Amino acid sequence: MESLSLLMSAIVAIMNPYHLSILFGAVFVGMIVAVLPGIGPTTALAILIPVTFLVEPAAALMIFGALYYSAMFGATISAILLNIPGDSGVALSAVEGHPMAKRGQAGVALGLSAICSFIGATVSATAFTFLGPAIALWALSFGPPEYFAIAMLGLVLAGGLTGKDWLKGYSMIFLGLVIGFVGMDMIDGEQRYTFGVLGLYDGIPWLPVAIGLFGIAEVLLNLERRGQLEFINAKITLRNIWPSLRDWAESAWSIVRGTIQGFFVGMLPGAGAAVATFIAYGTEYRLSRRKERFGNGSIEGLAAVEAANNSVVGGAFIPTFALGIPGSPFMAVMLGGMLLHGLTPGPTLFQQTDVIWPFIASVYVGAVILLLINLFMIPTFIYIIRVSQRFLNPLIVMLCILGVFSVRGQMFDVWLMLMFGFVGYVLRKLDYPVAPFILAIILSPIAERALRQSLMMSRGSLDIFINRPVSAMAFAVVLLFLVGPIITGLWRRFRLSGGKGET
Amino acid sequence: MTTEKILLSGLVAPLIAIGMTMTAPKSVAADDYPSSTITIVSPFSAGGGVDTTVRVLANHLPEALGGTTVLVQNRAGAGGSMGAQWFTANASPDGYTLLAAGASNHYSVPWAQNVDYHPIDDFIWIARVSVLPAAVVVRKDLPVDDLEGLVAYLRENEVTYAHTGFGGREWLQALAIEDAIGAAGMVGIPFDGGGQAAAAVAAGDADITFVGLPGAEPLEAQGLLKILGMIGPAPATRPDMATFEEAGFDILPVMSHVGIAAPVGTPDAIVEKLAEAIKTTLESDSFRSAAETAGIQVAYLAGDEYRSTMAALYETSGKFMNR
Repeated sequence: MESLSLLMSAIVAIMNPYHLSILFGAVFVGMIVAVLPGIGPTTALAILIPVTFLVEPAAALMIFGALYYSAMFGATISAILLNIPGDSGVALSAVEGHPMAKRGQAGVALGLSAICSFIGATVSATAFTFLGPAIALWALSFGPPEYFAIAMLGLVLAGGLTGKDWLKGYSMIFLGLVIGFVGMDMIDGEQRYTFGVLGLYDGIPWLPVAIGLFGIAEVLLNLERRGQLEFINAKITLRNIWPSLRDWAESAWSIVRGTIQGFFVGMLPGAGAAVATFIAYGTEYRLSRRKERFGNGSIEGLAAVEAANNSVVGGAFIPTFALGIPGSPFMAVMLGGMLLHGLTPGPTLFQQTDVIWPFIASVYVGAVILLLINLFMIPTFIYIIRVSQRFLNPLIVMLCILGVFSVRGQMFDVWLMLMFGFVGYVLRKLDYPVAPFILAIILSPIAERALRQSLMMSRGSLDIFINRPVSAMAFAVVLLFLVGPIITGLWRRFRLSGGKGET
Repeated sequence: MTTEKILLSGLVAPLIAIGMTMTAPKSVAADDYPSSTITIVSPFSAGGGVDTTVRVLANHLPEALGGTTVLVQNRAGAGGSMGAQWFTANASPDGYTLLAAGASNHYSVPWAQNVDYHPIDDFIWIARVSVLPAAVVVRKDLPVDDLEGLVAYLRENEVTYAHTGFGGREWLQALAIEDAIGAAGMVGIPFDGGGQAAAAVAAGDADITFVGLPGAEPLEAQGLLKILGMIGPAPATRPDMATFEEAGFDILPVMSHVGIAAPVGTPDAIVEKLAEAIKTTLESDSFRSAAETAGIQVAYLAGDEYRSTMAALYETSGKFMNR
């Protein structure tokens, strides 16, 4: 295959000290920057773009890409160890990873995440290589009705995450949806529940809410326990860092599914990493035979989420590279950076072999570098937390405040975060699930906008959802997920009653 | 010059300098301005059009200000009005805190939100640096090929246009066009950012939009949409692009006039110094070439004209926003 030999020669070509040190630097910076919640890859990229003028365009593109996938993993580190999700793509990593860390499996959780990230990034880079320009137009066929279907799919799957007490779960979903209503109506400019507070005009920002609900609430619970976090006392042995064979067996298919879902959802400019992880996680929950472990450190849940949020990378590059349509703030900044380097998006970019092949090769090499760094860094991070345990609570609070403030530079966001910290504490005490809440907050504006856009396109007719083939198919899937469990439930009951009579 | 004199001046000059820094308080002395770091507040997130312009300016401004460091600080939120409001409430009028001004938070957003600042009067407009004009973009199968054809089509047919939210530039531009030419009906569909607005037109989900040229050119190259012309001046990269003005239509160009503003009360001497430094920077070759690679459409305007341009845009916007 010609592409394969091009890729191999490109990998060999960048195996020189110059490119390797650039890649190493970008991977390291991206990871460290994202460990601090809130600062994130977008800000890092915007600041680093002037620096990239020191290198040629191909190398600059390598830096852009490396920042993205390494930052996604950096965010995972603080999500798992400190329960602070600094990016919406790792919210569910905190949900599953942090309980694992508290059980003394921090190393396993991080190790598994590192490898899932590696698989997600490299597989999606391969898909990007071979499918890239060909399926870019497919992403365009996703308009408002299709996004509405995806948001509905996310919400239906969220309904599955409600845990034992479905009433509590659904009330969290609806509360999340309502929080998503706050802000200026984008069609007629009406102020909805803003009470004239300028900080609420864009809606309740996601990051302060999530960091409050997870990070600050965790600190409050720690204070109550007065003791140490359990995972701090867990020994760091190889067994605690490297996932066991059984862990692999349990999560192998989750990784495969997460990677595929992440790639395809990542391609859609209006969806993003968070939606990809929700769909991957919800699917795992539906398919799992050990549903009770979800929310308490389920290894297959974490594996699917981590594979998905890194596989998004390759998918998200497609509309940016082929059509010049950025799917996220990071991609928008990256697009700006590409233009500065004279790299014009379009199918012709894929034909610029001196740029595109080194870039794709760099994703493979960078993913290996990231994996190697982390085999050394994971024990270090756990060690740092162990030695600083006396200061851990103030440290977490400080990180949360810095992270939230750094996004918009607004104190308002910090107060909001502290308020949601108390809300999160109360919710945790009363055993309300947090995951469906966060999910609904993110999906609410997407769903509302897509619904209203669709109805404006069709001048008010609901036919638009079934007249468009992609939308009709997506709604068929939603229906399957909605009705499927009911039918299987009835079937099981039918079989049971057939065997043993009414019980 | 004798050897003694050289030695003497070498000794005296630093002494004078030390004496001056000891006696003159930083805030009022325009003579030694700037003596410490200057911060430009960017009221948008890093990476946007306003932010890019101001970051390139911040890289080159020190050359004209005796090497003073110029930093850019992002304070985003509520369409830029949170940053502007923070600026009017907190920035000291000493020339060390400046604002990246001239976007929709100075003309349309204040009509839609209750902001605590007057979008024109609460700022000293130092100089305009660039403009961000938009391209007129239509879906590929809309039966028009130029701006005249579009206007004729709009007068006869109802269309949908993609915009980025109530009060945003695209939204206001559509109202201005509708008003100026008497369109049959333009239905706005909001999208999350200019990239998705362009994608909607490429996919045929909306008929028209107005986005920055870099956002539409890759799609145009693949024949997924048509660029009919520009609102406002044609960019240097495509000087032959048609504009509404050339086509003979009197349509208000809604666009950001990116520039630098200072808090009210800043001493005149400092404002003059800054204005001079910005002008020098904009004329320098190093800035020009950096702006060209960044796709920044440099358009210098002195303080007075900058202010009156913004005031006119604000007034006209109000006419549409209050309807």
